[in-house]
Formats: sequence, structure tokens, C-alpha cells
Amino acid sequence: MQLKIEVPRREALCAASAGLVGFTTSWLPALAAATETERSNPKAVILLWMNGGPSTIDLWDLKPGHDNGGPFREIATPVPGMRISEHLPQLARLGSEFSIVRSMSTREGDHSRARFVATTGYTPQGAIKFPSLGSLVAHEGDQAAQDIPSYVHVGGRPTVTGGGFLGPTFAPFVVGDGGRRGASGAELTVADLSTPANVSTGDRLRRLALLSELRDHSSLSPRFDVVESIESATDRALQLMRPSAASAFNLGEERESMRKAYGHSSFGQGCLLARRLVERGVRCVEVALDGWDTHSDNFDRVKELSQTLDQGFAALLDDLKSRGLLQDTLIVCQGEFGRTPSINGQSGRDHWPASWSMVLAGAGIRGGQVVGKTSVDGRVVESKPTRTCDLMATIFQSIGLDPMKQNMSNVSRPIRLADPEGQPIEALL
Amino acid sequence: MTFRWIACVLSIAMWCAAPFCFAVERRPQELSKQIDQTLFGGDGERHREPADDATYLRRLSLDLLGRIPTVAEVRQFLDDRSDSKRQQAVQRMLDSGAYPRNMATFWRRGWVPQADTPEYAAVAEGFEQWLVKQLQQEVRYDDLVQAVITWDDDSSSPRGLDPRGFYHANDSRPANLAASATRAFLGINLDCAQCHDHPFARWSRQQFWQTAAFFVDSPHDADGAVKLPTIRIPETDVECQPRFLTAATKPTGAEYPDPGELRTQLADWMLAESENYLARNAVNRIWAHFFGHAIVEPIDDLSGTTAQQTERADLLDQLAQTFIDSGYDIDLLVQGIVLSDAYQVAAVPAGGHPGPARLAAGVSLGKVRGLTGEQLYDSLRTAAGLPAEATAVGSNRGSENRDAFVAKFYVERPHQAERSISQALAMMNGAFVNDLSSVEHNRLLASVASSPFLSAEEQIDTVFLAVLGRHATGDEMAAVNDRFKSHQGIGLEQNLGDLFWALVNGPEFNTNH
Repeated sequence: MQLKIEVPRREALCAASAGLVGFTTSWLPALAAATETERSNPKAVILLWMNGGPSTIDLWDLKPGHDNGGPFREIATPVPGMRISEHLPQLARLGSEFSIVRSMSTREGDHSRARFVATTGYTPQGAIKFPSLGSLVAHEGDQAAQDIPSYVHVGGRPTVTGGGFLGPTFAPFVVGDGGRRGASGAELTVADLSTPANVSTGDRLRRLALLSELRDHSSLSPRFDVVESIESATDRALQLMRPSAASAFNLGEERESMRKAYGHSSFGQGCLLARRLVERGVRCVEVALDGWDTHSDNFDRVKELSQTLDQGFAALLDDLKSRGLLQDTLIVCQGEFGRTPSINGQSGRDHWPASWSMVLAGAGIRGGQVVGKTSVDGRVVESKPTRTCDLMATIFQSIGLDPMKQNMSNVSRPIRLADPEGQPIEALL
Repeated sequence: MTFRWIACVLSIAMWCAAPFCFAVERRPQELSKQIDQTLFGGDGERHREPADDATYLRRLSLDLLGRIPTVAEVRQFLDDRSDSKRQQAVQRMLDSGAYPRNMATFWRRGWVPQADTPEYAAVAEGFEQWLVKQLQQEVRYDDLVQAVITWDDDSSSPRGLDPRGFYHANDSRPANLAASATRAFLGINLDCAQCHDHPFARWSRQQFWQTAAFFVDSPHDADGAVKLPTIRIPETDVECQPRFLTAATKPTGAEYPDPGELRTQLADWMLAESENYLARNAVNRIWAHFFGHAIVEPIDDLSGTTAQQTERADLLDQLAQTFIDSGYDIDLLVQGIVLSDAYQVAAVPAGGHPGPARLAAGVSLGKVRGLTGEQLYDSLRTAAGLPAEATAVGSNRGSENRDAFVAKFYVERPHQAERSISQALAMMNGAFVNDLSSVEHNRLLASVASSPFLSAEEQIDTVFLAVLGRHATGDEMAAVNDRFKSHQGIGLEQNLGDLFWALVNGPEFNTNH
């Protein structure tokens, strides 16, 4: 049986304001205990999102010797037969820790549609508000007991900005303003997490008390979705402001050597933040690396991006492993599609969903595997093609969730975690 | 036909020196009646409880001007005893400078949504400035679309007031331009057809690339003559030439001396094609601006199955026909909508059952919507007694603070807006809101605090008028008054600042209801 527990809004507001002056509230531990018996937490997911559609023919499935291959060379990994790009040397060293799916074959070649399908597992259908993978995983986890949002997006802009039919509680919390118009980018801090210097604790408490009281008199009740989301966001923001929660986002608490290992790119630091968050019970963290839409000058750009990816991803694998967290954390590395095997007139590659690769590691995934095979020119998947629904089924199964589990959607129709057509990739489980 | 006839009568009436305001009021009211008859039919009375004056003014101001009304505007409107005060308020707003700026943002967001992403943010300003100028001059809607589709780099005006942003936002790539032009101007979604044929979809992959071919520059053959351009479907050997989407016919003429000629023909076809996609799309998007939900959803899928069914499709067809007959008059359509009973329905009926009302046609009325970033920023300033920012002539942009705030509070569709934690943090702890919560930066609070002739109740009530556009209720007044008394020690200014902060962080200020 699944018990739905909601923190009463007004209590949360009061509790949060009380927490600021050091009271511990009585309901939180009780709530945590209650949820623990009702739910078993699934494993965590870290999605390394290669935004724009990575040229996987230049990363994970090279075609040396063919015209489509481009200038990159392959290097060996500890796994016989698993060879990857020369620009991923750290990952090559860790080849037995991850597996490559070389048989991805999808249908959407438009960025926004492909992103939607890749992150929700479903093709857009009428009015159904499909939630993303992160929201689904967060929803299965033990949300109410923690102050940190259980689904965090780092460094870009999430494809589905809300929580879909699961509601705003499961919406991604976005760290870093890199995906915003007019913002400078690389800072991975949470803006406005504390009160401004000229506002005292007394000021804050008075204001919160007044806000709480005026809410009680409001004629606009949380029956309206939009109103509910505003009140809920306010309450969750207050929870996040508690010092214990806020410190999760403080990378300054990490040793300099650790920060260096991940690389000083915002992607690398985002991977480090992902580890800190997963350690604290966050269920899903997306870390975006943008710039893969290489219609021109593909090889210079992919080389540079590969180096950023290599350092962050490899450091994450090393770090999670040494902390004993890798077995409970799934890492997924992919973008919305691959890129054309043929090279265009601007040394670029265009959108290509028909044959591409992605990488899985950790949790219930067997490492050191290569799934599927593409033709010598890279244009055709020669083994059984892997569809998005197959990948989703694999992901859910590997973190201990039944892909066939249903949630009620906004159109009053139950929707399964993964499209029921999907067949998990047995070789990886 | 009816409207042409009315237009004719009205123009005669104007020649006869009938009062001007009477002439412009009449036609929109006919349109309002058409909307209400279609929606409510015979038995819709119980869904029609209208919003009270304060709620209506706030809703209207947010939708037409992009900001809440000022204290003065609220007081004046509430005190006005005239029967036609709602019509007069609409007219005042349409005549104001804020209206074209607000609508320019609306059309830009619909047509060039890429400009809301960091990659293409730079194109927003130029495109909106161009739109402001057109809307100020009351350019017809069909001419606006034509100007975008047929824009030519050679004809750019020196000040850069042109729609080139549409091309930049699409990287000037034929495939992107085809997908964006059909979505923005026809409400047709061709994204899937770009890569594959879908068994149930109306549009094929070939049709997508035939549309894209209109945006390819015409090549010259060996003799220097211009040829019909072709474009190859990627990774295939199929070459496509331009064909009009719904008609599958070729552009006319064997030669194309002007590089823009093909796109001129494309625009002509868009205006003439028999299914009225252009007008239906315009009406559907404008409707969504005022009601949240579009008449037909998804908003960019007018060729999909939901667009073919039910009374909703009929309503959209009717309004589209009226729009065409009016000479693509945007302001007439806007007036017709905001003066309809349908638009004026209360979201929260006074004593009755809570909305939103859902009519037989399945159209939702009285929907509570979130605010766009622009609305929120400009409303915060208005509430604080500050003018909305307008730096350059004809522009509502140019302020870095505003741009950053707007980006942070971006919502795709206001009726489905979900406030995020980051946004809540910015509202509670951000410098902008906190500055406005002190008398040093808040002119309204400063003037209330320095008005000794106001009673404590009047001071509190003025803050409610400024922030929420209505008087405080008895309960609210008692609660706030008690708080002020118990915190007397911190002083009036601090208490007023607290009240402002609490009100702008509450759901009523943050929604359009």
C-alpha cells in the first residue's frame, strides 16, 4: 500500500520560521519514521545530460578507417573489445565500471521533442503532463522527510520545468543560472538562499508570521493549481533555507584536491555537487553539459567537450566507488540524440536519432558491457535496436523500481513509470 | 458579412459626426455577444457570475498593460458610477503606451519562443521593438505576418527596426524556419515530420522538406537564370522542391528574379488557404492570452485531432471568420474578448461554488493564472508606486535588472505556471523585493508613512489597494491592525514594509485571477 503523506502547508510555514530560531519541531522525525516503513527508497540517479545531441560516433562508437569516422582515434579499455575515443582517457581507464549501449535508435530529430521523449520516456500526447525521470524517481522516494528537494538540476535548464502530473513538489530544483537568459553562467551557487544582510531575524519572523496569517484569510485557496504551487514553493524554499539543508550546496566544504579532481568546469563542479546531494539522500540529480549541437566545427568542439566530460564523469565514478555509493547510484550519460555519421560541409554533423550510443554505470547495472552494434558506416543499428522505452525500463529496473508501476495522471488515466512496450536490456541487469 | 455591414453603418455614422466613443464601442460589443452566445447558449446563466470591479480592473490591466493597476487607477475605477466604466477602462488602456509594448512581448513569445532561451536572448529586444512600432501604427495582423515571412536582409532599415530576429533565432536554416513559421503563424506542428512519417499524422516528411524549400535561396543556372531551389532530405537521396503545405501545389512562374519572391508567394498562400489556419492560429493564441487555456489545445496543433472535434472547433472557426472579415483587426478582437461576459466571469464567485467554470464546449473560464516574469516585475514596481521601466523609445526592455528577473520568472504558459523554489527564494530574499519593502525605495510606502492625516486603517488599506488592487477585508484589517499594534516599537515604516513584503509574497499578488 502506498500512503500519501503531505506536510500541511501552514504547519510547514510555521515550522520553517520556528526552525530559524533553533526550535526543533516535533512532527518531522515522526513523519520520517512513518514514511520509512511505508516506502523503500529506490536507488539514486545521476543523469549526465549532454545537451544538444552529442556526437556519439566520436565518443563511444568510433568508425576508424571509414569516411564517416573523422579524425579521432580509438583507445583501449580494460574490457576486451570496448574501445572509445582517445579524448576520454580517464574513462577508458574505468571501462569495467560502465557499459555502453551502441544500439540506441529513436525517432525524434527535433531538439525539444527529442528531449521530451528522452527525459519522460513518452511521446507527447494531448493534455497528459508527463513528468520527467527525475520527478518519477523523486516521487518514489521519501520526499517529505527531507529539507532538500529530492530532484535537482544543475547547470542548465530542465526539459520539463514542472513536476508534470506528479505536481510541483516533484519539480526539479535548478541550481546555477547557466540556463537562464541574461545570466553569466558558471556559478553553481543557490541564489538568495539566505536573507539579505539588512534584514534581521526579527524582521524575518514578523514577515513570515504576517504572511502565514494573511494566507488564512485568503479567498484564493490552494484548490487552484497555480495557487497551490506558489504556497508549496514558498514552504519548500523555507525548508531549504535551514542551515543543515543549505550547506549541501556549499562546495566550499570540499577539499581543494577533490574540487580539482572533478575539474573546474561548471560541469565538473556540478558532478561534485551531484555526489554531495546523493550522499544526503537526493533521489535524482541532472548535471547538464551544453554545447553538443555541433552542426559546424564538430571535431574541435567535441574534443574540448570530451575533455570536460572525461574529467567530471571519471572523477564521479572514482569518488562514488571509494565512498561505497556507486552500488546505490545509477549514472546515465546521454543527450537527446546522436549526430549524422556523414560529415557536412562545415566539418559538422547534424541531428541523427536513428543510431547512437549512451552509457550506464552503477546501481544494478553490470559494468564492462557493450550492448549492440552499428554498421561500419555508423548509419544502421545491426543488432536489436534499443528504443527509449527499453532504456527507461532498464533504468527503472536497475534502481529497484518496477517499470510497470502506475501513477494517476492529470487526465485521470493511470500511466506506468515506463511505456509498457519497453523491454529491459537483460545483458545489463 | 454582418461586420462589414456594421462597419459600413458605423462609418456613415461617423461621417454624420456621431460621438466617436460610441462608434468604437459598438462593434466590439457585437463580437462579445457572439462569443457569449456561442459559449453560454441558452442555459449558461449559472456560470456567468461576473468578477467584481476591483478584480476585473486588475485582470484587465495585467492582460492589456502587463501590470497591476496603480492605487489612483483603482480608486478612480471603484468610485466611478458610470454604467460604461468597463468599456471606458478598456479604451483607456488600448490607447496607452503600455498596451503595444505588452502585446509585442506576447506576440514575440508566441512567434520567437527561442528568444526566451539564453542562446537566442539577444534577438528578443530588436524583434519586440519592431513589433511595438507596428502595433503602435495599428498594422493589420496579416500584414505583420507577411512582413516577417517576406523580410529581406537588403531592405533592412538603418535603425534595425525589422523582424530579422525571427531568422536569427532559427539560425537562418530552412528546416528550422519551416518548422517555426508553420508553428508560429499557422498553428501547425511539423516537428515530427522533419524526421519521419507518422502513421496517424496528416503531414509527411516530404511535405516538411517541401515547406523548408521555400526558405532556400534560389540558385542560378549556367545562363544566370534563377532556378527553383531544392533541398535534400538528410541522409536520403530525395530532393524536394517548394510545395504549399495544404494544397501540395507548386509556386507559380518558372523564374524567380527576386530571392524573396518564393517567400512572398508562401505568405500569399498562408493568407489565402482555405482552412483559415492563419486566422485560427491568431485567434487561438489571443484567446489563450486572456483565458489561459487556448480554445484548441495543444496551441500549436491546429491540424491535430482535437482541433477537428466539438463545439470548440466551431467557436474557433467562427471567431477566425469574424477576424478575417474585420480586416485582421487585432484590437477589435481584443476588445470583443475583454468585454465579453465570458472574460468577466469570476474565478472565485462571491458566495457560490468555486470556479473555474467549465462550459459545454469544454472551454474553461475564470481560470487562475500565474504571472509572467514581465508582469511580475512591472507589477512589483507599480505596487511600490514606481513607474514601469521604459528606457528606450518604444521599448520595454533595456533594463538588465528587468531582463534577469524576467528570465528567472519565465513561465511557458501562465495557466500552468508552477512556482519553483528558486523563484520563491528570489521573492523572499532577493534584493529587488527587499529593497521595495523599505520606505527608502518604495514611494508608495514613503507617502503613506508621511501622511499624518490618514488613520491607521486607511494606511493599511492603501497598501492593500496598491498591492492587491482591492480594499482590505474586515478580517484582514483586524489581523494586520493587531500585528501593527503589537509591534509598535519597531515603528510604522518597518510595519508597512513588513505588510508590503507579506502581500507580494502571497498567492493573490502572484496570480491573475
